[in-house]
Amino acid sequence: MPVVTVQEISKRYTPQGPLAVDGVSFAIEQGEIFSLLGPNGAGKTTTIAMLSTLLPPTSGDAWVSGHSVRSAPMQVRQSIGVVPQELALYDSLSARENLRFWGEMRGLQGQALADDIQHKLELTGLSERAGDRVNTYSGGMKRRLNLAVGLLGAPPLVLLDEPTVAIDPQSRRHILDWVKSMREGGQTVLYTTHYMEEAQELSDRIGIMDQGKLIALGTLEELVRLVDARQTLILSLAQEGGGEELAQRLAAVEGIAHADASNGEITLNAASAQRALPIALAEAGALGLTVRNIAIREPNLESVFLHLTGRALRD
Amino acid sequence: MNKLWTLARKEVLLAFRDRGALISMLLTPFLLTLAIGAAFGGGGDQPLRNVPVLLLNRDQGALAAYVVEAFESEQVQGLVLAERVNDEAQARQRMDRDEVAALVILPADFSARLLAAADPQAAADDPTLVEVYASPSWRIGTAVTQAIVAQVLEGMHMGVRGIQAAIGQLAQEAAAPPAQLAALGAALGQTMLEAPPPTRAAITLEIDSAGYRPFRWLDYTAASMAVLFMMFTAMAGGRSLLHEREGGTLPRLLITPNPAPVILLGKMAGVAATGVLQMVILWRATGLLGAYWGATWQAVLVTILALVFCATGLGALIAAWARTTAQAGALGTGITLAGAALSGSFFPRMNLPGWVQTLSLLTPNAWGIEIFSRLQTGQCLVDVAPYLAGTLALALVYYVVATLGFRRQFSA
Repeated sequence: MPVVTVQEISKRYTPQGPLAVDGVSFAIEQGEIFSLLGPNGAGKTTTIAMLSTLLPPTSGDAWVSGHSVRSAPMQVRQSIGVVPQELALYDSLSARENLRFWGEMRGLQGQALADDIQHKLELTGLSERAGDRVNTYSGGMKRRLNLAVGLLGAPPLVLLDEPTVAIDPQSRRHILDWVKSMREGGQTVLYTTHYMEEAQELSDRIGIMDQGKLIALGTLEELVRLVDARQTLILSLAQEGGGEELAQRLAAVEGIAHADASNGEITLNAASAQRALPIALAEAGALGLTVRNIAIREPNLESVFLHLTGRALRD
Repeated sequence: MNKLWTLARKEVLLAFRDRGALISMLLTPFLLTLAIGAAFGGGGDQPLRNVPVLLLNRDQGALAAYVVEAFESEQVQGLVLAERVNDEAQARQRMDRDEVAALVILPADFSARLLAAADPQAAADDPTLVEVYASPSWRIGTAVTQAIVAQVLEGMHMGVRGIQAAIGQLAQEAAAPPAQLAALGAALGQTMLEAPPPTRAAITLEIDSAGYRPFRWLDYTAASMAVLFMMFTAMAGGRSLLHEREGGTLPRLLITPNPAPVILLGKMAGVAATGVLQMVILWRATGLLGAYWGATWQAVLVTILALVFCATGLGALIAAWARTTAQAGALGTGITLAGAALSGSFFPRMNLPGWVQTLSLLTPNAWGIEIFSRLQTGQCLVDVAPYLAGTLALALVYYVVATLGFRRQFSA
């Protein structure tokens, strides 16, 4: 039986507004790391908010450990640990005080709580600063503490909403390793990110979201197969303008599946990047554009997203 | 219960770790009390002023008019604010509304009974001669009224007895025929009543003021400033709910396995505990300056608890209906300052017009100042019980409206 079952769940914030999440369905098995990948505004955070019972779904339902988020929110909350995208800590309290407060609010107490706090402090590398107020911490330290709070009490399901946004590489590595260790400990993880590399590194399965919809779902290999082994060619232009026209011209060329211009770069999917490259350079020259840099990438989630949406993931 | 304690402890910890909040909560009101106490004098007693008294005179006789005139004389001007009335029902309604300290009724046979009495002293002491209805909440004002009535009656019985003695002596000596003696008696009585004030017995009040303490700026300011700044704390506490919502800690709290009402209740309990601690610290600290808050610590503490409960309710109400922290901040500050101005946080409440005093009862400030003023002038817990009940009733209204607002917020 899956730990999480999501069935046709939708969310509309205002009666006349657009659907932030539109009929999304998926399931997550015990001990799995499942990533929701998508650009900002894709509906990942709203999905997490509904699964964590913070927001009621407009339609559909979801079950966590067999409990409906609609009819049994309290039981759902007992089974989950949530790490929100924004830091949700008390700055005037120390790391130890924060952990104690949030642990008690989860119903932990006594020696079990004290041991758990000590374990989390060691795991986050915050033991030496445990008594210092959080407002004296670096961004990375706060992120790690934010994560530790969500993992108090070893919940069977952990919902991680973009936990590595705006942090240093060292803290990011720390967090990614920690997430992997959760799987080893038998915990189930739902991880949202817009970093393709993180989803590739961590996930057993990946759901790709865009504009509120789940547009693809599968293992990394299954998703890459969707793009018919196309390569991605990225041209960096010296000029700021003119990229859109070049992308339009290239998109019409046979053998090029998608072409997209953004931030002075042209990204295109092609069965063979080597074959597409001379055409792209010729078209750029015809438009008076200078190519400053060329990169060729093997199929990955970026190309999958480009293939599915016609846009780059970073948009 | 554990969760409530956890939440409340966190609130208190956050409040007392914020240096800015500590300055606002404790240092500022303490310094203001110190400054105002020093400027106006901690021991600078202000005499009782303008005790409102209603006079209902049903007697056409000269002696009743003399009593009325005594209340309006220069000798008691400033001390008593007498008002003649004709409608007893209306006068009693005003008594019920606690607008006046006393109602003095002179019955239709007042003058006749006093003049015809064989023993004027016994007549003057007869409690049915003058009816004085006193308000229990105007303890000192009532004492003033009764003292004036007693003084005037004392003067009258002395005068009547003197005339009776003189006429009796003349009758004994057969110095004049009875008809002339009667006319002489009437003339002497008229002379007594028409005598200019200096020749009348001066009204020297001997007020039964056991337990009464006069107004002192230091006492008044200590309590009024503590109430005002506790209001700021309660408003900030309510506002912190919105701050937590915007900062992400409230959503995180709401997905812990606890019902939303427990989270709100715990947070409000923490705000209330902060307010109580603040007021208790200010009470003890201003006590070191010589400020007097009340005869018993129990009365002061009960008042603090009721008042903080009420103020926290107002803070919750604003938090429940405001959309942003900034909006709640503006509303809370505006309401607190307006309430302070209307309630008499900056000047003696008793000097405010009656309608302002009544209007201000929509704010916790007014109830707080009213109760502490009474405790400071010697009233006890039983005396202020109606005001405590009023405070709690107002709190109930706040919490009901706040609950409606929170339901709307959390069901969205």
